Amino acid sequence: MKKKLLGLVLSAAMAVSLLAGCASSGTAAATAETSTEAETAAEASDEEAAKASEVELDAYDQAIAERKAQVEETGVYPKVVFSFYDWTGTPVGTQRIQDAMNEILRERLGLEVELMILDSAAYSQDVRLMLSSGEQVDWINSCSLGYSTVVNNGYCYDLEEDDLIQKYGPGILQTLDPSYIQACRVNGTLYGLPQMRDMAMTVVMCVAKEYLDGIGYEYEEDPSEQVVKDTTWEEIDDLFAQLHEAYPDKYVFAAGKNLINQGSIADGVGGDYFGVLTDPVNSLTVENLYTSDLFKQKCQMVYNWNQLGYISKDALNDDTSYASKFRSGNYMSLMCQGKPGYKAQISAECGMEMVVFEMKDEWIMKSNAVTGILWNMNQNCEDPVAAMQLMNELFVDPELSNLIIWGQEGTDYVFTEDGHITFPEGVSSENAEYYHTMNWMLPNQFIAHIWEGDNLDLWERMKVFNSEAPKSKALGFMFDNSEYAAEFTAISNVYDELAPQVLLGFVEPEAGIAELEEKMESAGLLDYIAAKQAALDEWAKANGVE
Amino acid sequence: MRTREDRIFQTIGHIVMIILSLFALLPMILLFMSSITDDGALVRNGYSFFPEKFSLYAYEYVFKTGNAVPHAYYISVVLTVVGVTLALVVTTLIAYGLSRPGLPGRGLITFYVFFTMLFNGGLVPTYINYTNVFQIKNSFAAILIPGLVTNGFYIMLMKSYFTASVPDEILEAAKIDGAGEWQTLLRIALPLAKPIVTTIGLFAGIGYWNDWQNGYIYLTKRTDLYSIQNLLNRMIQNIQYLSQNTKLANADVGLSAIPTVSIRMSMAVLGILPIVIIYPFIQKNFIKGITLGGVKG
Amino acid sequence: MKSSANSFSKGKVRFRKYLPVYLMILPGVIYLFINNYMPLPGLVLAFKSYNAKKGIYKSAWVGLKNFKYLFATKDAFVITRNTLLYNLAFIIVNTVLAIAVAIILSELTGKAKNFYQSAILLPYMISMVIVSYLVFAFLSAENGFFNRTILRLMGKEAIFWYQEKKYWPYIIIFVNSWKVIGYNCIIYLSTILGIDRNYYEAAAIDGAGKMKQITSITLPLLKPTVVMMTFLAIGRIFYSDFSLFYQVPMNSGPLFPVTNTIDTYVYRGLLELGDIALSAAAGFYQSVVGFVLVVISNLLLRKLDPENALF
Repeated sequence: MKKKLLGLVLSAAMAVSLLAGCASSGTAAATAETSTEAETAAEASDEEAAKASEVELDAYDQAIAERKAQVEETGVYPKVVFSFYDWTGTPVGTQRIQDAMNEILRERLGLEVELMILDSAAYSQDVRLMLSSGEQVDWINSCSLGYSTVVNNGYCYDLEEDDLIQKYGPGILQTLDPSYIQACRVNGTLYGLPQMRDMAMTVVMCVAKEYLDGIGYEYEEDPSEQVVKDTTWEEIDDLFAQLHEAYPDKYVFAAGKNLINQGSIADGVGGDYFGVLTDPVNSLTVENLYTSDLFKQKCQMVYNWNQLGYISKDALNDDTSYASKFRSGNYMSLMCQGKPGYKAQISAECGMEMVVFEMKDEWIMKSNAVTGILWNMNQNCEDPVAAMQLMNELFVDPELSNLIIWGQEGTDYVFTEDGHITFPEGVSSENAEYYHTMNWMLPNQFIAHIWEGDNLDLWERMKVFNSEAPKSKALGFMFDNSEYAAEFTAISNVYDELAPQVLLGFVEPEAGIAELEEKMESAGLLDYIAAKQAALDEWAKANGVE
Repeated sequence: MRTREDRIFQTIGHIVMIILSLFALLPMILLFMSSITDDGALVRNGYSFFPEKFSLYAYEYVFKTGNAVPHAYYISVVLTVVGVTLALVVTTLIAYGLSRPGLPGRGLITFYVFFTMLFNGGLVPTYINYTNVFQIKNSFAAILIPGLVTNGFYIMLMKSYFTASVPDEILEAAKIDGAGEWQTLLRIALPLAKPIVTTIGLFAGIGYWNDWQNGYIYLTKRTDLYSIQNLLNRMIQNIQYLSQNTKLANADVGLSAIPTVSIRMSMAVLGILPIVIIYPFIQKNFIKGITLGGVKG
Repeated sequence: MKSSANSFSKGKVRFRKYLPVYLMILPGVIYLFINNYMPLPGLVLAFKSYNAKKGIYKSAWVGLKNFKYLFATKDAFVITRNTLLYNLAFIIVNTVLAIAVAIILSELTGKAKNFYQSAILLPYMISMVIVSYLVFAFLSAENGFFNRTILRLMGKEAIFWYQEKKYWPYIIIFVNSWKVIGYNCIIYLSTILGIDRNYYEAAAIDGAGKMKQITSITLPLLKPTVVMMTFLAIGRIFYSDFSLFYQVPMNSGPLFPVTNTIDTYVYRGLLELGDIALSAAAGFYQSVVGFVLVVISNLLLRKLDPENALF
């Protein structure tokens, strides 16, 4: 009896592994359709790639078969721990989603996943501790720790060791644009993988429609992109003056400290703004931001706004979120970085319809855009093959992607008539069991459903937005500043001390910038910039960038 | 039989304490009022003793989304009761022992205790120790044991009390009467040391009730072990992280419903409310314990 | 031969006599060993270039390099000065206030004193983050009580509190005392209440008034506790309560000259650098200075007042 059962199980397992083989090649083919980004680059070497991928798929299936044979013996599925964070802590439905994913994964890959969803604020500390202690956590996201931190501390596994990604992550390579992968290589070694999301940015001013209508402001919103194109800063000045006149009791502008990083195309190359590329598309010269015209100009602009009473006197110390500010009804506009579909997002966030003004000539893919939110494999990972295969499936399989991003159909979401998804009856963001909205962090949201409020062609737009954006020449450059820890700490302290008041227009720019510049230089800014320039030059040479 | 000086002292004493109490209480009242103020009104007008618009939404939100608030209270209570008991047993024993004159190696052990107050291995090594060697991660022990059971401060405080206020002669007398060390401790020393025992009990209780770091570090899966302070701090810090990282706050429709300003206050209120309610009872016993010990001595 | 055997058995007797005491001490000793001593070798991290692949103990030695960032810059003086001076102020102000409050509470009659004691302990129970918002409620430029109510009533100009550093040493000291007095006074209160009432009665019979009793009985008997508390504070004199100096001033730049301490300085750098070896170095430095100061003070005390020396 027992023998018979074993035989049955064995043959079933074989059948499953066969099926899995089909599935993986099948899904890989399916993604080729959805991932147009890879197409252009892959076209040239299409045949070669096809040949290569055949070989790789063999290794892929073989690994699965071996793993399953192992499971036969031990009865235990190997586990891959996949960790990310969300804004409100572990969702109640996590276990259910994990079970549903494992239902698929046990058959497909012969492994199980453990979803470790931590609190955003605790994530960097928790992950750092786990990486240092050798606990099992296989995939982490270095979004809050920083890519250079995880690389410099030796936390990451080399994803190309023994052709790991080539053999066990072919779907990833087909999905991601090769230039993005190249951008993640540090001195030739690949330590992290980006996800499918907005990589470029535009500078946008968002103004509540209510007040625009109130002053009878005329604007032309592009119907398909839902933005007002090619706005100039003069127009904004003019608009602000009108808003202020009509609503003197309200703050015109919800000023944040994002004037340079989100409000300009200056590229904080190497991960900080101590030494920037002010013309990143054309030049690789690292400049001192604080002596640049760009900085003076921007600060002067905000200073004028502040003088005219557009900005709250508490702006320096106020850490209230945009959402709360706008809901209070006291604020009329904000500046942010835009992308396709931003109108829907910011309107929902602020609880009112916002009109998005896209600033003229401020569209860029910054050097650290790709490496900002990367997936890293723990150097301590016991089974890198299993981990990589899991990641591969998350990139290519819509079912898994939907599960990890949106949860289960019926319980966590339902379809609307036009093909969007939304909450089922009786479920809202407050009582939802699995609604973490971390789709932008997870590997491939482009193959997942689209939530109500966004256009169904959002991902198509996003691809164009990314691929056509002017790109920083330093795309993918990383700066190991660990030799300059002393300077960096001192400069950071000066920055925190003096920069916010300049950025928010609380001090006269001429004098404010002069003081900032002087103190930063005496803290070692110029040495730091020189070191960064040297590293950038070396990087450019090694990567053949002119 | 009160003297004039006595009366003056009493009057001034009450006046000083009333002023100090007002200093302490007014911000607490402000805290409470802000927690029941409409979020929008808070952003518009700032915190106020007389809110323009009342709203209980912050509390509603905390209870609705967390859904775990009552359970977290339960964990906190259990943790505090178990923790205080453990802390008192361990601390009293070692402090009493170290107060015994003539104990060979006493100076050395005292230094051993004192040293821990100055040096610590740091977070990462401590974490590795507890997770790898003792494997207490994601267990009740993880919120009970690390850092909270006793420390040099408690031990030194108690030891100096034993030395100063429990005369050695009394203990020796008990020994001559044939009492063993344990009996002497339980029957003679402990009753005399009630003030310090209640004090350390109170400190340990506050320590356990207020602790959220252990849960923050050692609980990655067991959300059912979140204590109230841990839960509330997670929420507060997440909100802070979110508003400071606006560039990451992508597509967050659900979050916009969080009353980010009033919620902080409501969570602080939820954290101290039980203490405000229970404290008078604790204090009654506390004062009783202290004075009883004092009178007897 | 005989005498040595004798002393041996004497030692044995002594040991046996104290065996129960050792047993009592054991749990505490074990706990401190686990909680404090076992992670201690981790201090070597301060002298290493940390690499997770090699682990803490096998990472490469780098000597004192990790300490460089604490001293290499001009800020070193400011942060050290701030940390030291604030801690000195805290030691003095908090000790005086806590003792005063404890004495008043111990002498007061009537039920109100229970209320007072509960009230002043409350601030200790709320986290610094919340405290920072309460302070903001009073000091906010647009909506703060001071600007909107008090200064306006006095007919004065509004003050930008978060940009005027001259007020902050007082604000910081005030907030700190406000928060910890209720807690600290419990320590003194329990000592006072432990004092034998007979002393006071005898003094009263001798005709000593309240103030006389306080100065000649209470204060001298509090001395050992004060000495110990001060020692502990000296041991931590290079540490600062991070959130008091970071959250309460709302990380406001113009206030840095008076609010930047060793801990906030390290935090601002490490937030981005994320190098655990650097923070280990800072912690090591703080501990060593504290240790040295405690040992020196103890030596001094042993000369001046041997009874109260700590060890």
